[in-house]
Amino acid sequence: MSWKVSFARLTGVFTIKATPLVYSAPDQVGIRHGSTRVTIKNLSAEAVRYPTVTFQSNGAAAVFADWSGCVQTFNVSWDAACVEAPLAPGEERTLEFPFQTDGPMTENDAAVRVEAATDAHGAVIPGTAVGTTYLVTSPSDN
Amino acid sequence: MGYGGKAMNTKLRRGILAAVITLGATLATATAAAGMSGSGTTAAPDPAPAERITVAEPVALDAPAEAEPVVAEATAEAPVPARTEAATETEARSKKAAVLTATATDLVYGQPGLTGLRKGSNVITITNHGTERVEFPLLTFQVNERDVLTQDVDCTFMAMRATYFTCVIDPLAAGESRELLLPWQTVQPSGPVAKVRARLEQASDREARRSPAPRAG
Repeated sequence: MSWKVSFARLTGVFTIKATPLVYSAPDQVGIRHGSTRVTIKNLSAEAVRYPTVTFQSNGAAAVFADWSGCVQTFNVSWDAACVEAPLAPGEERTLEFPFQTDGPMTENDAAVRVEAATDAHGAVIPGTAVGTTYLVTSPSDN
Repeated sequence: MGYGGKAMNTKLRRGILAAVITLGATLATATAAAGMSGSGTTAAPDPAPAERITVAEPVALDAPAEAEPVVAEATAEAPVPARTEAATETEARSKKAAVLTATATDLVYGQPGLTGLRKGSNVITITNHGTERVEFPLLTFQVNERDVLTQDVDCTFMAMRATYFTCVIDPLAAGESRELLLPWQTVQPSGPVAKVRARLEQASDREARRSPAPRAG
C-alpha cells in the first residue's frame, strides 16, 4: 500500500522561519546572551504596512534587548512583539532578535508568529497569523 | 519504505511466521505431527490453544489478493506426538490464510498554524477477503523525518520502535471492510511530493512484538 504526500500551496499572508537560539555562558555580571534570526515573507499581492512579530514567552525568564530592526516594540502580557517596517508583495526580510536571561535556561521549543496589524500598536488582523518554533538551548547550563 | 520482490516477501513471510509461531508447544507439536507422522495413538492435544492461533501472513498492500498460503513449519527438535483429528484441523486452518488488502488515499498537508505545524489526514480502507475473522490486523509504518502520526489515530494498540511504528486495529470479520483515518502532522514547512508505503499483515497478538520492520521505500 502506498500514498503520495504533498503540501497544499500556501494561501496565507506570510511565511516565517526562525533559527535556534543558543545562550552563551554567563558574562561577568551573570547574564546569558543569545539571539534568533527570524525571516518573514509577504506572500500576498499587497503590501503589509505593519507586519508584527510576536515571541511567546513560554514561561522562560528571558527578556528582549536591542531589537534595533523594529519600528515599535511592546509587551503583550509576557509576550514580546516587534512591529517591522512595511513589507512589499513578495518581499522577504530577516531580522536578528537578541535575548538575555539571568537564570539557568532549560532546553525548550519556543514559538514565534507573524501577523498583519492595522497600526503600530498591536491591533492585529484576525486570520493573518502564521507561526513556527525554534529550539532554545543554553549549553553552559547543562 | 517499500518492499522487494516476491522472494523477499516470501522470506519475510517465513521469517515472521517463524517468529510469530509463539503458538505454544501444543500447536508446534501438533503441526509437527501433522507433517512428520502418519499415524499414532497418543491422545489429541487440548484444542483450546489451537483455537487461538493466528498465523502471521505479511501482505504487502500492493500485492494481489491471492496471497501465498502460509503453512506452519515445525522444527525437527519438536517432540513428535501422534497425528490427531485436532492436529489435522489445525494444519488445515493454518493453510487457509486470511487475505487482507488495503488501499489508501493521498495525504495533503494543509496550511501551517501558529506553531508552524501542518496537519493533514488520509484514509486507509482495509478489507478481509478471507473466510475467517482476522483478530489482529497490523499496520506497520516506517518512521521518516517528515510525517508524524498523531495520537488521535484509532489504533487498538500502537507501538513505537526505533525505525518503524505499528498500529493494531480492531478485529476484522470475514468479508468486512473498514476505513481507518490516519491523522498526520509535520513541522516541515514544505517539500516535494513524496511517496510513502506501509504494510498490512496479521499479527499473532496485540503487542505485535514479532513483526519485523518494513524496508524503506
